[in-house]
This record gives sequence, C-alpha cells and structure tokens, in this order.
Amino acid sequence: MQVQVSCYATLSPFSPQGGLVDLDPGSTPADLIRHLEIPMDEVKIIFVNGKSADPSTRLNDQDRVGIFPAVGGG
Amino acid sequence: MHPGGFVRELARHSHALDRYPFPCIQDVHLLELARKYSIQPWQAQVNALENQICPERYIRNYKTMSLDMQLDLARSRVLVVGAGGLGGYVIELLVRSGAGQLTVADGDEFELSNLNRQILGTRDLTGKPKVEAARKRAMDINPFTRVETCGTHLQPDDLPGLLPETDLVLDCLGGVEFRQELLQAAGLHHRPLVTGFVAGNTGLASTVFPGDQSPAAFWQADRDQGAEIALGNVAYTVSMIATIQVREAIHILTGQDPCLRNRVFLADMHKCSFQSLEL
Repeated sequence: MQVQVSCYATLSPFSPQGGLVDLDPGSTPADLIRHLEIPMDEVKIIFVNGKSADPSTRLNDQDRVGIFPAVGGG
Repeated sequence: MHPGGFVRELARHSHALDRYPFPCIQDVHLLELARKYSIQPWQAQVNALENQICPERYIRNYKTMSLDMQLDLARSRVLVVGAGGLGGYVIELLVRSGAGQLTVADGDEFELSNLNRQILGTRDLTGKPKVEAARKRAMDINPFTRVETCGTHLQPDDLPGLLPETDLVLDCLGGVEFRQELLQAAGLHHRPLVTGFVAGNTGLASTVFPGDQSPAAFWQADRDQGAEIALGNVAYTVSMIATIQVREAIHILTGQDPCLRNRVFLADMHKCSFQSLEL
C-alpha cells in the first residue's frame, strides 16, 4: 500500500521523495517512522488524514500522515 | 462613574457620517471628555459604545464587527503572555481593533536578533524591556486601550493573581517552556487560551477551553529541544500565526464561534498550504 507523508519543521529533511511511501499492508505510523529513519524520540505528534493518531494505528492505502517534532517558538 | 452630563456631552461632540447608522466621535473629543469627567480613556470608550456612539477610529471595523461586538471588545480584558514575535503582532492587532484592557507579560529585553520578526523591536530599543515597547506602541496607536505590564517572565505563582482578572489568555511564549503550566492554570481558572507556536516555515495555532483537547503534545520537550532552536523564526510565519490567534481571540471576546477548539491550525509556509487538524 502507499501512503502520503509530510514531515514538518526539523523533520522536514526526512520527507520522502514525492511525498509517497510504499509500506506493507497493516503498517502503522511507528513502522513508517522507522522506515524513514526518523529518531522516534523526536516525534511528538502524528496526524493521520487530518486527525491526531496513535503511533500504533493501522494505516490504510492512500492515508495522509503528518509527523511533527516539538515546536514552541514565538 | 459618570454623571448624565457626560452622556449629553458625548452626544454633543459626536457627528454623523454618511452610510453609517450611528454617530461617531473623534479621539480628541472623547479624550477631552474622559479628562473632564475624570474617567479612564478605556472606560470613556465603553461609555460611548454603550450609548451607540462609535469612536471614529473603528469605523472601518463595521460591518465586519457590529457596534455591539465593538463594545464587547472594548469591555474585554486580555492577558498576553510574551511580547516577542507572536506577542508583538498580537498586541498590534488587538490594540488597533479596539481591545479595552491588555496585560502584557515578558521579562526580556530586545536583542538585535529579534529585529528580523518582532514588530515591537526597533534599533533604538535594543537592550530595552519589551513590555515598555508594548506599552508605548499601544499608546501611540490607541489611547483607549489600557495596557498593564509585567516585566518579568511569569511564574506559576503569578497566575492566580492575573487569571481571575482576565477574560482570555493569549499564549505568545517563545519556546516550549511554561506553555503547559500556563494552559493548565487557564483551565483551572476557567479561562479560554489561544496559543501559537512556530519554527521556521511551520506555524501552528490552537484554541483551548477548559476540558478541550490541547496541543500540549507539541511541547513535550526540554527547553532547548524545540524545533525553533534549530530552525529559527521568520517574520512571515510568526505574523501569520499571530493573525490567526487574534482572529480566534476577537471571535471569542465578541461572542462568536472560535474555529480552532479541539483543532490545530497548521501553516506550512514552505508549500503555502494551510490545514485545520483535529486533536
């Protein structure tokens, strides 16, 4: 299956080419984060299809995933 | 307190403007009346609006804001925590819009590295307290906004004294530190809070009423670990998020619906993409 991924702020360099990643069926955001080699402790919040989601959520084909580090500037 | 003479003089000093269904009064006359009757300018503004007389400076707010909404804003008391990037623009927009009373808290002084984005910062103010710049800027723009300042970084012990006197909190802090404490305290005092947080091209804003979902997960880091440390902050992201915060604040203060409860507004200023995400 294929998911669309956006990594923000300091995680932006981990965004895949073209924003698309092929994953095994049943993969989770945690699997995706490992696949992209993002240090797990830098990920603070994940959104799937515009909704906050747990790293263990089961992803589906064509899901949109947003991955954020800590952000607090002003 | 104002005697009936004040209201009669308000009417006498007001004037009609084409296309507007209420009389207006100029700053100079309203300030003179406030002086004559020994009332604060912000209170004189409330009195004018209560009598359906609009300070002429707000005429272009109408009809986006009705006269009753302008009165709600004139009566409002807002705590702005942080007078840096977000806070500077938030103060600018609230003061121009007609907010009645602001309390501004910040313990910082301006540095050269603030000038890329902080609207209150100017060359001559380098080394000067940000809250003093906020007070002067507000007075230069709108003498009918009362600004109280707290020239230290707020501590948890400060909040029980401030929050009961506040209708709404604007979290304009710089860095992840103290954001969760402020949010919790606002909740304990049953006050809504509108937060903004940015790093580089990524900007976020959210409105939190007591019991709502909060964006606190974004702040789960040590003070030196927020993305803004590595990415810095740029004027176009900071001012965009401050604008969204003020949109939410004014809607809440004037009895309209906020858009960002249980949600977070995301501005990706690299792709020029804007989303409202569900928390």
